[in-house]
Amino acid sequence: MRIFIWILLVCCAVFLEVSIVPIPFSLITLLYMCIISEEPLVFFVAIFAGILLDSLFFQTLGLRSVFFLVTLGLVFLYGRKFEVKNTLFIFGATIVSSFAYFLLFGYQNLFGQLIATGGIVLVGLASIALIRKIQARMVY
Amino acid sequence: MRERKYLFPVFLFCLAAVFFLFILGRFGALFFLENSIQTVIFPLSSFARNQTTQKLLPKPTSIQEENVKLNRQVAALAQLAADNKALRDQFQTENPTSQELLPAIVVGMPGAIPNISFPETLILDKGLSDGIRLDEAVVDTNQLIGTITQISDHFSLVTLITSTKSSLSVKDVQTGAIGVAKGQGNGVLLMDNVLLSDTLHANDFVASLGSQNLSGKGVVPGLILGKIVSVDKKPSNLFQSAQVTPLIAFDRLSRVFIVK
Repeated sequence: MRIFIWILLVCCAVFLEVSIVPIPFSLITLLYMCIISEEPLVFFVAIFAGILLDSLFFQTLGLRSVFFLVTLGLVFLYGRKFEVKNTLFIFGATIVSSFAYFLLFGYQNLFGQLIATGGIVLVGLASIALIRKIQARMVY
Repeated sequence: MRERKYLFPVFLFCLAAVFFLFILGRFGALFFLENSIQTVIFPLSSFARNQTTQKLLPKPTSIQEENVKLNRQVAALAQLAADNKALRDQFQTENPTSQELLPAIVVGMPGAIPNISFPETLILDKGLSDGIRLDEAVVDTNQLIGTITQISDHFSLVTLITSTKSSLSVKDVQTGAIGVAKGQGNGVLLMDNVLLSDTLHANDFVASLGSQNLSGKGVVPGLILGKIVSVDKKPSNLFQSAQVTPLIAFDRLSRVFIVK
């Protein structure tokens, strides 16, 4: 069941990325899934997202999938030694991987896109923190 | 992390699967899959883009619209004057060729954030099934937009003339100076490799020199690429160059024409 929810989320992210704003929503979603769930099942979702994006950007199928797999593999590897479920790591990993993504796939205005991505990640993280705070208050 | 013991085998399996996909993709075995994904997503994407992105763009004022219209007229007149002169002098005769224009709708602008980054490519709703072939020119009135560089059954990818991957032989319509227009990636072009003995002026129009092959595919001569904004001429350099801006904003395009 969980994999279907993940696939649905990734489909939404791909759609946003292709149609509205070319911020790597799919990469961000996959990273969050990887960090939060810690399950290797996310690799299959990464392949699926890569195929969708490559088809829609007229690129050779598999290029983005390889990038996603390697990025998630590195996050898993890092997670073996260090704590990854913290805001700083999520923010850092997203920015670094987005930078590599923009660079590899020939995006224009690299820093503008990176600032926009950073802004969206910060808003996302702040929203999650706010929701957790509200939930904690409701429990007490 | 949990499920550590499966991590490496799953990773290797996925990598092998992607490699297999990559090989299949290179041989065109996944063409059907790509077409199906594009056929489903692009119409939805076009609708979503029209509903959101286009509304975010500032609307051009009537003066700006009039300016674009007048610029087009001036460019057409300059082209006409140059052609007349050439015909009169019998130095250059150009047979008018009948060209078929196929209208196409812009369904995507990969990598473009409105008012932040400029598009490098456009995705059109016409493909192999509509008779489109690679290297065909895409225009809006007499303004060259780009050329078809990738194609699928129902969609095609246009590399804009302002893209860093684009380069084209061009001439100054007024002075006849020839050079190479190279895209700079931020909505402008650089007319380079112009001899120091040739003359370039600001506000001159730059048109394509023509790059058609034996089967007639490619950019026809005389299509306007833009207007010279500034000229960089130094006696110490081998060539002079000029910055050229297109007459229309490519990120506002919603319909273009493919020259068949």
